[in-house]
Amino acid sequence: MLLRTSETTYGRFLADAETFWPMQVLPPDPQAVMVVEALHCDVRVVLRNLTLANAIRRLVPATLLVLVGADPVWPDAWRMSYDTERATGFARAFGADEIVDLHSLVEERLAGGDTKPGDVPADVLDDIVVATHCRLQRIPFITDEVRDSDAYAHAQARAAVYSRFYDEIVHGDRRVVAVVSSHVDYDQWGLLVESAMRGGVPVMHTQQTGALKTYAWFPETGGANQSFRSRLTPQVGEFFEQRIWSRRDDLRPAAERVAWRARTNLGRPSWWRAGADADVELHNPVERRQVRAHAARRFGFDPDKPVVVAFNHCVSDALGTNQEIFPSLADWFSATAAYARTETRVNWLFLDHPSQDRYDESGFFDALASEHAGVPHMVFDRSTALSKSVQWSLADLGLTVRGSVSNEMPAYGIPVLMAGWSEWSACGLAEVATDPEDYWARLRRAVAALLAGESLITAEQVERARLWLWLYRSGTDVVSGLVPAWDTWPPEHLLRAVQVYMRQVETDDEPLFAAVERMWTNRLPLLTRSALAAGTVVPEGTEPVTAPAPHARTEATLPSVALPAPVQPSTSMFSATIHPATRKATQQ
Amino acid sequence: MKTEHPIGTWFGTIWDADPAVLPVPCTVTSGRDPALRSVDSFVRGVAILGRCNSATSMIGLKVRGDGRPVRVVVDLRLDVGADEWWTAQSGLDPARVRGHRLVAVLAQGRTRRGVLLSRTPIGESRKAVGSRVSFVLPAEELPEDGLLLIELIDAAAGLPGPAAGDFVPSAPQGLRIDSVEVTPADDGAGGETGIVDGRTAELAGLISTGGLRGVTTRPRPLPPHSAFLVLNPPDDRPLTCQLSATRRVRSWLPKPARRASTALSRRLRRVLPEVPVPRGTAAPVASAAPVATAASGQAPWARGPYEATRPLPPEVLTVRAVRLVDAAPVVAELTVREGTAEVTVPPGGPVLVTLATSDGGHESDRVAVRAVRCWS
Repeated sequence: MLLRTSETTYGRFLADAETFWPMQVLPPDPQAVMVVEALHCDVRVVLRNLTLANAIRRLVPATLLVLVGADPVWPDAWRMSYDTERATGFARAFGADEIVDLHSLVEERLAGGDTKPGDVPADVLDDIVVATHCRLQRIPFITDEVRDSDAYAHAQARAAVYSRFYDEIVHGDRRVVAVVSSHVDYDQWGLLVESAMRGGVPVMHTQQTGALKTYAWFPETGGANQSFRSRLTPQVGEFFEQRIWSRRDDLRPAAERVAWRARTNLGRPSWWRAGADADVELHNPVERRQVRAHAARRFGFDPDKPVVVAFNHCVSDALGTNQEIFPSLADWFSATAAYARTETRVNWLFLDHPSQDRYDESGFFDALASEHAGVPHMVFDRSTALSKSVQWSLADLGLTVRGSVSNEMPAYGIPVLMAGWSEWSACGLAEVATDPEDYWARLRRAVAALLAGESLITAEQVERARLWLWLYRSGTDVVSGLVPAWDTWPPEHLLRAVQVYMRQVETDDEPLFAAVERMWTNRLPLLTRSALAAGTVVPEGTEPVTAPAPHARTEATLPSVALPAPVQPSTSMFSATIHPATRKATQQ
Repeated sequence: MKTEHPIGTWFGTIWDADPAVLPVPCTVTSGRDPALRSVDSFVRGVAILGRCNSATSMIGLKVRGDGRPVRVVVDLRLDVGADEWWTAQSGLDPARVRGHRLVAVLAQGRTRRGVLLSRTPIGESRKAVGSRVSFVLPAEELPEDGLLLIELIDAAAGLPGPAAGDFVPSAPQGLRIDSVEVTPADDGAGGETGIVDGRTAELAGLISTGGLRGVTTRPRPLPPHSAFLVLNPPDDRPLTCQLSATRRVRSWLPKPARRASTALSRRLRRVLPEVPVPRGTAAPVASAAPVATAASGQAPWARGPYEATRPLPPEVLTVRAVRLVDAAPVVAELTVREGTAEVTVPPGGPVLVTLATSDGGHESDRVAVRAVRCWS
């Protein structure tokens, strides 16, 4: 694992972890097992997986089975290095009862010709192989030539071995309590998740940002024959509607604060680049129009025409992980460009993805740009070439499949049309097309509305987007000394911080344990920092609460502290997990 | 039905304080001033406004115009830090930082001024050069609730291929904006009349020949060093500039030290002129002045080990002119009158004028131009 830290720091950390964890978990039941993957190079990912698994082992007695030994293609793809020995030491320190070197096992089976796949449906297996191959080869889609290549055949064989091995674990003798994974895609992880869901085993998907953030699927929630993310999207939408949208008045000051911080690149997750251009320093439509005049001149746009901005994805990034209405991310982008060629009444700006070089070596973006070169109403450019202010001054409508622009831009009043699902696409922030015909129809209607000067976004969508940002960055971000925020780096700082916490802090009322218990007991799709009880649903027929007027800094809108609702009393015998804030509330 | 909430309505949150607005007159000298907005690739400074960090940098100033025309003066500097910044940030070939920076200054969507800044190491000097870019905005161009937007762009990027090679790419990158001053312009938009000398013209921003040394103390133009000149004619009248040109040649005489120009060397220079050599196949020139070969400007036997400058007679000069930003060709009149050359450019935006010699010489002749006086 990428762990440039002194042996002393690392050794002490392991020693303290080994002392800390056995007292935190229930005595393991040998017939139950928690399966955790430690296949990522970054120690922060492994820390999250093992910490979450142990937090669940406070509620359900189970042994811990850890998968180590990433296939070298993955560290190569990330340009990192993986150290199986260190991963093993880490797992053991966190109480692993069984450690499986996955890479050795897979190599052995491949060498022995033992490549019969598991019970995974053939089309699902094929989709996973396609997505994996695209990601590792850094290409946007599979052509017949690629399908016939040796590398692809090897990828298919490898995937078959994974699927059968995972089936052996998940559908074996022991009861699998849960699967904890940092990814839900590609062969190495996606097949484990698929096997778990098929076997009715809860899946925990830890996130690589913030402190501890996790999405979860529980078998009670259903969703047969769909990917993890497809099952999650409607659940998150329902959660948002019941617990967040219904409490929007209470949450508004906090949501406004997060919206301010998100705009200036504070808070996490933030996928925006930092630096001088991190903020949008424009405050009203007049200023925006003025900057737009400069930006339009720069690109040769007719300043009187609306501008539609299409944001390219990393074209090999987890293809098919959620609903996509076009066959691939690249197909969506090319098809939109072809449509733009014919729609000359508006300007079109096609931006690449800032991380594109790590996901594409086929030159997809540049090829598309040269195909449409010289067309005056279409411009292709690097996303990093425009400051955020310039981008927002131009964008009258944003287009994406599932990119984060579809939650960022609506929070500041810029409408977005999505050609697919993301975890927030059922929360009412942006328009979501259901199939290609619907996408073109919506796009045509949007262009017509833009030409008529109509607004494509409502105050409600802006408010929903701000509430989503709050949920994404605060409500579902569990803060604890056991899992420092993602940017606590280099490893020396990270391990020292966690080691001190394990060594010197008592874990009564530990917020991370309380949060995991809340998610596990209530079968929630997300890990939450505090209990978000459902608020009062606005009865039908009443006026919906409107968003505050912009810049209305009156007494009425000055922020007051938004206290979370009291936590349901816990029935676990291992912790009286009453949230500290509740004590304050009851003392008033 | 036009929307009541155009995009921009929700850019703010309840946590955004009321934006600071400056009255006119005002001077902004620090990047920390709350009325300053960094709109594109501008890094705020503390004692200065800040530095530009790309080929197109833009700042905004929240200024209340009160319905009057205003004069805007932008103080630019090209210093050692600018070159270091450019080398570190631009990602371009570091060798190209030595050269001329051709920058166009736009405001409120229109091109206002062109600036040529050169930190040519004459005598290994590392002194900064600066330029005070000044233009007038009519009242209607400063909207209420709007910003004063100032954008610096690389004007060489739009020039035809070979011409662009003379200039530093991504020219604004690293440039310092020291201050912006906004004052009422009630004395009328065209305050530039009368004949001014070259130094005053550069100080007023009518022309730009590479910038001024010692802008705040004793502003003086650079010694003649390049064949380029930027003219900023007013909106309604042509601008004429009287020039003198020199050519750097190889000489048998050492270049005299500044103060040690002895009478002997002066007499020798008069005694040993450039000897005309019959030209080959080059087109004839309608002048009787001594001409030189196309290759080096001198006969081979006249080339010595030393560099010296010789005045160029105005009859051999030719000009090319191009409008900055849109790169439209411009018809510049060159008149030779009483032994001096005058270039006139029509109004309508800043113009880059390049001097060359009609005797077939080209850039390797190292023509250098100096502005003597200007009028419009």
